[in-house]
Amino acid sequence: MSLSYLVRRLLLMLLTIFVALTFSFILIRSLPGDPAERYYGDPRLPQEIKDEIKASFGLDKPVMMQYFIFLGNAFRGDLGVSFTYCQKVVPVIVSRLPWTLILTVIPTILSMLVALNTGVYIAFNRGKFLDRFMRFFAFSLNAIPTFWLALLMVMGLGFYAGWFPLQGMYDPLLQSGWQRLWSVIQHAFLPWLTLFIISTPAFSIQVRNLALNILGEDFIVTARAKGLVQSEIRRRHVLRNSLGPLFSFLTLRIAGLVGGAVLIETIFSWKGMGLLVLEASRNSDYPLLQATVLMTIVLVIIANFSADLLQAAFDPRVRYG
Amino acid sequence: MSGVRRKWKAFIGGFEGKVSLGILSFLAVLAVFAPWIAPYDPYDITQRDFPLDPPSLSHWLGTDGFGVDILSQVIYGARVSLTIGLFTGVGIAVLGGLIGVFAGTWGGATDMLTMRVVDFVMVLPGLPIMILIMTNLGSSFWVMVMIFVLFGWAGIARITRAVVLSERNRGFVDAARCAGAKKSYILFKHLLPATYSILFVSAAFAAGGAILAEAGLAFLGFGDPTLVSWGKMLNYARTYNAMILGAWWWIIFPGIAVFLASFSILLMGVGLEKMFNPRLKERER
Amino acid sequence: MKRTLFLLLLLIFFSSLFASYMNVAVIGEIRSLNPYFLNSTAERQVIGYIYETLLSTENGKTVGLMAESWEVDLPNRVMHVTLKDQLFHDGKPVTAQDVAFSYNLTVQKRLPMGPVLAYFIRAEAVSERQVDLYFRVLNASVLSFVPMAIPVIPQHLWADIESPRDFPNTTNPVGSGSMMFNNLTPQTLTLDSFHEHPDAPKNIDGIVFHMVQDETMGFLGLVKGDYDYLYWNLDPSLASQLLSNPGRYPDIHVATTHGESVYVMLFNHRQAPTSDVHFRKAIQDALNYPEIVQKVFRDYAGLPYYGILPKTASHVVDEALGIPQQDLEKAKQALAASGYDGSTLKILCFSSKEYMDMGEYIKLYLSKIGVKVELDVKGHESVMAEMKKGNFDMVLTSFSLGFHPEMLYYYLHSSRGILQDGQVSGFNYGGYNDPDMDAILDRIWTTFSEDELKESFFDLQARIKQTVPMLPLCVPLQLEAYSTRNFDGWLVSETEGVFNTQTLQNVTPK
Repeated sequence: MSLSYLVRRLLLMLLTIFVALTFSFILIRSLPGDPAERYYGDPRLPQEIKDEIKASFGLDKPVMMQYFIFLGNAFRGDLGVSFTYCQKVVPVIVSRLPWTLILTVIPTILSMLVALNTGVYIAFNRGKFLDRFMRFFAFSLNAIPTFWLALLMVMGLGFYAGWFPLQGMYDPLLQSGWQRLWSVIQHAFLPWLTLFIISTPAFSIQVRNLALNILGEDFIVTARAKGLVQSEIRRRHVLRNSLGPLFSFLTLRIAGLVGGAVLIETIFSWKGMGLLVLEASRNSDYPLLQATVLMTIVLVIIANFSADLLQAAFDPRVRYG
Repeated sequence: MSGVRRKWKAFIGGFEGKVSLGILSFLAVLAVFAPWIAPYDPYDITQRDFPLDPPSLSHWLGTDGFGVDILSQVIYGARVSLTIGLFTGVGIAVLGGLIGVFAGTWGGATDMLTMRVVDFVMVLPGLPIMILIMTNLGSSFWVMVMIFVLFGWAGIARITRAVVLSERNRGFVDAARCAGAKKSYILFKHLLPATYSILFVSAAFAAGGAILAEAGLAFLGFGDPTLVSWGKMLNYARTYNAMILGAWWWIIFPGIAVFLASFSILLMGVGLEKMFNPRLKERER
Repeated sequence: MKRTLFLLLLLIFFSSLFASYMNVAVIGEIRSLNPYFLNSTAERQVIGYIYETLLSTENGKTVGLMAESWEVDLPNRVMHVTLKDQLFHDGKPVTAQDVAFSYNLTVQKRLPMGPVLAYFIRAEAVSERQVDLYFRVLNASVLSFVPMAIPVIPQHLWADIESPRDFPNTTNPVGSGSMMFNNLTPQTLTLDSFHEHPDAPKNIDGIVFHMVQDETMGFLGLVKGDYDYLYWNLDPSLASQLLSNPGRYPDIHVATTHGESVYVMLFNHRQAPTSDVHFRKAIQDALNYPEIVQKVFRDYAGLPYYGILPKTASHVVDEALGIPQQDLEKAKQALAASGYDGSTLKILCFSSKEYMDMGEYIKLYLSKIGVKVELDVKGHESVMAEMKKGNFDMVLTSFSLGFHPEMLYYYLHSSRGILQDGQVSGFNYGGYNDPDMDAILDRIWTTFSEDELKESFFDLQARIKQTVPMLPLCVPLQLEAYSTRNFDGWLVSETEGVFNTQTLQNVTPK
């Protein structure tokens, strides 16, 4: 991985973020009505007061000017003020991010750990019943609406069986830290389980295909010829060589979940980024909505960038011109 | 013609082809002939019965909290899901295919720029942006199709471009070029047909994804408010307390319908893939 | 050191066990406690416990909340207010300075308190307990609005806040209300009883407001005993199931009281055929009101009076006017007398379930007399946008008239329905224009005596029955669920429901 490649990717990433910012500015400006109108709301106000309020939002300036101010503020980390939260949007979003990460990162890593084993295992049993079954199962899961599965979980394990709390992130009546932590785990269990069920088979197939590719490589043939036993091959060569692509896959998957957690978060009333997007949409809080989506896009772009770097760093065969 | 017939035989002969075509044609018949098949008309406010009836002889799948027959809603809901799938699949294939082919044929700066746009679109987190757009534009059937197409074309464009690039260097294209053929002639005569198989497969996968996405958006309340759809049924089931009212049938059946529709279309994609590319089958073994 | 810390923790733990907080579920989020910027129902529900206003209404009458007495000097457009002797939650006294500061802040910082900026000029503290409020326009409506809308905040905490627009006020909101802030988390708001306040809850330590996302979760919490009260209107299906199996959840009760919002259908008076009174009466006579109430609201709604005002506006409502009834023959005659040409009309309709169902039924009834209508279902914002442009034939909406019947001025006065630059100047979206109605409405606004007010309102309702400027459809009942599992002593009031000041003073832990 050369320095020029790194710089080029970095520039490309910045350009992409810039494009996203511009698009979101155009989108917000093309809306009917403006934030000032939303703010005063009442048609009974005299025009001069309306104009004054408009000016206090900077809406009296020419559009290009507003655009540059917007860009300048954005690069300083200021994406405007949410009028439902009465504060700057960035701290609001930042306070939600950890919850989304708790929800998504833990089951993703767990299912990756499980998939590493099952995937390599079925790769070695390629073509047998288990392999076919797993592939069919993983494929069928693609067609199940995740939110419906989550609903069934809530209904079956939460409501009818009564094993888990149905919603929320913790029991607010518990005071001490450890009880809180335990409570968070209890509350997170069903969403974790849902995400785990959805991703493990898909990961396993991913690992399987990767392992099959590696198994076809020359050095594995050499290893076999050297008389290494299967478990040794599995450990020494297959796992190590699949690490790079898997890391990048993992990063992308988590990035995808941060964006796609809306449905799961809604069903479990988990107050993360996804629910924030939905909340902002329902309240027509456009600054918040725009900023949350923008932050999600930026996160995903950064994750992509790091996934590329990871892949390049781990795999000496990947060369970029 | 015999080539087409052979391929068709290969498709229908396989497991995927049989199952997917079976389920899909069943759903399509339901959708097209909904008014004759469905026992009640869910749009007719006078055809409402006692609310929250469990499955019985008069209502095979029960009624929802407003007394509307679930079976009829599931049957009518197939219309929305299948048409969304169809339009999105076709839209994505056409748009993605054209962009991919143009980028591949023209090359140079056009190609570079297109591929950067593809990169950009591919990393965008779909759901939040869809919510952003639907909050601004309102949620109607066509807005939804438009959004799905706008978010789906990039992957296909990338694949078609790759196919075109590899085709471009093959003998007959060079020969045509030497013979003085115009770019557009080469494009429509040689390059475009080479991408058909990949377009069919991608369209099927996109359609399956669109059905799921539509259900998810409708569940969040972004569905077309005037249409009966499976996602909207689930949204109502959740909003109007199906769980505490004990109406499991209100939650289970729409979900199964979504699953069947997307499952069959995705499966068709796999079947098509195997049909167009028999070597794939070998490798899977 | 460690041991004391441990004991302290233990103490906190046990005191929290023995403290008796009432648990109340609210739907939605409490994001900020800035009383000038309330954006959710939940915020509006809780803010009144922390902050107070000068005046308030009780059973339709204006009463002093922070004001001990007040005088109106109509010719000079000044209101003289004398304050009660009160404390803020941090122990500092509430002074006339604080009141003047709160009122002037609204004007100086251009805070969006509805039309306040249009009517109010400034406030001045004349002595420690007396404050004068100066108005640009002063009438009964402004009086019943401005002093009930502007919250009184402590000057010593707000003086330095540069931009109240981005001040969430979630760390230390100090007001003078009956409860004081304890803490706010993403899921709860805890308020403690402020014992200096006469209305403070006596037998409980405070209230924990739990934010829940939907009714199902709230209800399950109520069943489990996590919550004692659900701060929203119960869904009619759920209410009917609860009330029909009282044995299933013995602790749970549903308080059924009169509602204060009226579902209405507005007409566009700027174009035929809706500008024709015969046409409007034809529609009024064509609808089957009891069926709408039964099918859409499971019978949990009241039938509307001709005069639109609901029962909760008890001091001014004219029940003798009667209730509209379906009479297809009369409707057909009225239709024949109108200039209706058989064209298809559109009913603009919010995309929520009850509106769409009501719309479907209206469509059905109108087809029986030969009026063709289509539903035009749109999201909330889009419907509001169309209404503000006056761009509709008919539209279904609801007005909250139970506590502020004088709001009808805004919905019916011709000056509120002028269409300029494509925007309606007020809330009279349909542009109803009737000089007689205007005269009655003007009278209501300049009347301060109770009897005259009642008389004017009776005239108003009679005029509404005569000209049908808008069509009242039904008045949904208020359905509140509460549990007697942890607390006893709930008091149901006909007008205020069960979660009222008396209940809070009266409830005792079991």
